[in-house]
Formats: sequence, C-alpha cells, structure tokens
Amino acid sequence: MAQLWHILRKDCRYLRFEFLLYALFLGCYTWTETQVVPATSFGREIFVPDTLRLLSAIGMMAVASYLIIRLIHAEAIPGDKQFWLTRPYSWKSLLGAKVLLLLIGVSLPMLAVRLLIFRIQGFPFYPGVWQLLWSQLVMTVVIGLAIAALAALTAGLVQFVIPALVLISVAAFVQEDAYWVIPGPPARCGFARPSPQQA
Amino acid sequence: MTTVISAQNLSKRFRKTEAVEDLNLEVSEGSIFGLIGPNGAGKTTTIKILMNIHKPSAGSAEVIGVDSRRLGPAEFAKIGYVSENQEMPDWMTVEYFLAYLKPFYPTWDDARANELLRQFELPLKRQLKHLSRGMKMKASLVSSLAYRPKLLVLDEPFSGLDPMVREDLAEGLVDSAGETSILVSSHDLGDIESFASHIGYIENGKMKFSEEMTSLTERFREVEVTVAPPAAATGKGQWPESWLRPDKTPAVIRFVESQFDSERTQKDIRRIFGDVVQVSVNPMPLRAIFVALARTGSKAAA
Repeated sequence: MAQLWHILRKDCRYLRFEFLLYALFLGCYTWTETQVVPATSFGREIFVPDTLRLLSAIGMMAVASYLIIRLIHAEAIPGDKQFWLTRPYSWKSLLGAKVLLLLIGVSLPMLAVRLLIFRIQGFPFYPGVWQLLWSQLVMTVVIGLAIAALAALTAGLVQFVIPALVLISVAAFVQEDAYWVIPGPPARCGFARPSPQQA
Repeated sequence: MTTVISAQNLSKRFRKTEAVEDLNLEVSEGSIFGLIGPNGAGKTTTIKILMNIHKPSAGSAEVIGVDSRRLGPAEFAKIGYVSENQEMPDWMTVEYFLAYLKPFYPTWDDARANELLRQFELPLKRQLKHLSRGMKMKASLVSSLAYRPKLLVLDEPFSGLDPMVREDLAEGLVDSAGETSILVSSHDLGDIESFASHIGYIENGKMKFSEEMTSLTERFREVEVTVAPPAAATGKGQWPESWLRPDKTPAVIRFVESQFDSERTQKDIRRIFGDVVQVSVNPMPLRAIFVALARTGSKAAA
C-alpha cells in the first residue's frame, strides 16, 4: 500500500503541468456550458460561443486522454530498456496507483464539473444525478480504461496514435452500421442520432 | 563457494537469429566477473535473460538462488542493474531520483549514497535529461549501489565514456566488490582487465571460455622455437590442438600455447621438431591472449 501511494505521488509530480492544463480546460468547459445562449439564431454572436463550447469540450477530453496516456507511459510496459523493469515494483501497487490516479485525477474532477454545470443550469438534483453518475462511470470504464489499455500496449505517444485512429475509425464504422441495422435508437441516449425514417 | 549466477544451456532465439546458444555461466559470490565479447556477441541478451527482461528459449538460469523467470520485487531489492541504454525517468533530478527509489529498498543506506554522490561529484539539482552520458551512468550506479545489493549487473557501463569517467566508475565498483558480486559486460577488454577477478569470452552467442583471470594468464604463453636445419621447421606428426596461431619461417616457429605446462610443452616441442637450438617462452598480456583466441575460433581455449 505504501508503494502504491509512493508511485501515485510521483505521478502527480510528473504530470503536474498536464493536470494544470486539464484544470484550465475543465474551467473553460464549465464557463462555456453555463453561458446563456439563445436557442436558435443564425447570427455571428451565436456562432462564437458554440464553437468555444465545442472546442472546450474537445479540449477537455483530449487533455484527459493525454493525461491517461502519459500516466501509463510513465512506466511503459512494452520494450526492454525501461529502468523500472529491474526495480522492486509490485504489479499490484503499480496497477493500483495508475487506476487510482485515473479515478481521482481525471474522472472525479470531470464528474464534479458536470455536477456543477448541472446545478447551475437549474436541473433538479434527483434523478439527474444518478444519470450523470452512470454516464461518468461508463465514460471512465469504456473510454478511460480503453485508452489506458491501449497505452499499456504502446511505448510512446506516436505508437499510440496510429492504433487509436484505427480503433476510432472501426468504432465509427460499427456505429454507422448499427445505425442502419437497429431501428429507432433510444431517444435518451446522448449520442443517438435520428433514424433514417426520422431524418 | 556459492554462486550468485548459474546458467545452464541457456539459449535465446529471435525468429531466425540465435542470439544466445547453449550458454553456461557461473558467477561466484564476491567475484567480479567480466563478460567480454565483440559487439553483437550476445552479452546484452544474456544479461537481459538473467534479469528476467527476456525469457530464455531453452535452458535455465538461477540468479541469487531464484529461477531467472521468477525474479520479482523481493529479488530485485537485492540486485542492481545498470545498462548503457537504459531509459531513465529523465524528468527527475538526481536528488529526486534517489529519493524516489529509496523506499523501494529496505537496505537503502543514506550514508553510502552520500559517499557515492561526493565521489562522483553529481549535481543533485540537475534533471537526468540534462546530464552527460557519463554523469547519467554515475547516477544510475549510485542508485544501484546505495542499497548494497548482493549482485550488481552492468551492461556495457563504460561504452562511449571518457577515460576519467571510466576510472571513476571502476573505482566505485572496486570499492563495492566483496559485499557485492559483480557481473560486468564489455566489448573492450581494456575496460575491465584491471579489476575483474574472472573472465568469460562470448562470441556468436556461445561462451568460448570462462575462468579465473590468474589461471588464464598462467596457461597462455607465447612460444618461439628455433630449429637448426631449415627443413625441420615443418615438424613431424600432429601438432597439439592447444597450439594456436602457428607462424613458421624456415628456422623459427612461433605459436601460442593455450595449455602451458613447462614439462609437457617441452616434450611436445621435442617430439615434433627433434633437437631444437632454442626455445623461448614468454608470458602474454591479456589483450594478446584474447586476440589469439578470437582469431583461432578458440577451439583449444576451454
């Protein structure tokens, strides 16, 4: 357990600038999501906040992904030259430290920000909070751990990008395929698009 | 004497390349074992198998009494590993690097670490990425000696370093010898001949010979035989296999005797050349022994 905290502290120090950047993007995301924007407009003034909102959301997700990749690559698994391979690291402590930092350093702040936005926008706390928690959990497990798993199979950022792009393309293709096969995606699903009949 | 490393018939194949083939190796406790061989001979692969970085394709090895494939945190707390091409956490300062490693080792000795830091004159506040190659090796060595390991394994630690840094590193190693058994690889004999107690020569993945330094220098002699009639230089009968690199002129024969025994060698000379005018026997420097072995394929070396 002591080794777990020791590795975690080291990773916090190692990624301190990335965490600062992440905090900045979380702040931007919160700000853009809480600005009052007219529902419909074709004017210039609506275009800028929407772009900002999109950019801050993409930026936040990109920095979160980058943080996870850097966190895993701090003790890269593939290769035979890493200094830590011949040091008395316990696998349990190493894995525990990485998962814990992913949760408390990446996922939890994002959840906090989403809860804050939820409150500022005036939504009732119940039952929305459970949906938020569920979506955050799914995002952490599906996206966060998928990024961590892919990072664990690669030794550097460049090596990570190519398979990641391939996987994203495959996922997009599968989703597109499912869109035609499964009629009427659930209306409550945030990523669902209208079916061909609806469109 | 107990052994800290013992490898039997160790082999490692990378697709079609046999990097290590049927290699046997024994490193005794307290010794400084120099693993010598040209670039690409299989030294690094052997060391990586011993350190459980690679799994052997065949054979097995025991390191501090544990199968190399089972080396884990408990064993690595007693083993130091320094390699020329090791990827270090470059963002750390020397000071933080040592502070970070300290809790991993129950036997970490601050006094020893400080003594080594003073000896190597390392800048504590400088990041590892801003250290020269020699300084980086020194930092790596400090981090591997501060916990007084039972075994220290060094892979080409002197490669590309200037003579002063080599001297410093060698001094650091000699100071630790005794309580720490050392396995050090190098492609240059000059790097380690001054302090190694045992030596092993590896070539094309095979261990050509492995023995104590003193016995190696005792069994090799450069022999010069002067014969009376020029025709006698061809000799009679089969030459012993232990005679390496024979060089003949009509009146003089020179060779390297790899199993020197004064009486037996004299007897062999008389059997082959009959009455000789003069026989001169000279001890050989280690470098000349290695050149002789490397050039003859060292059939008679073992």
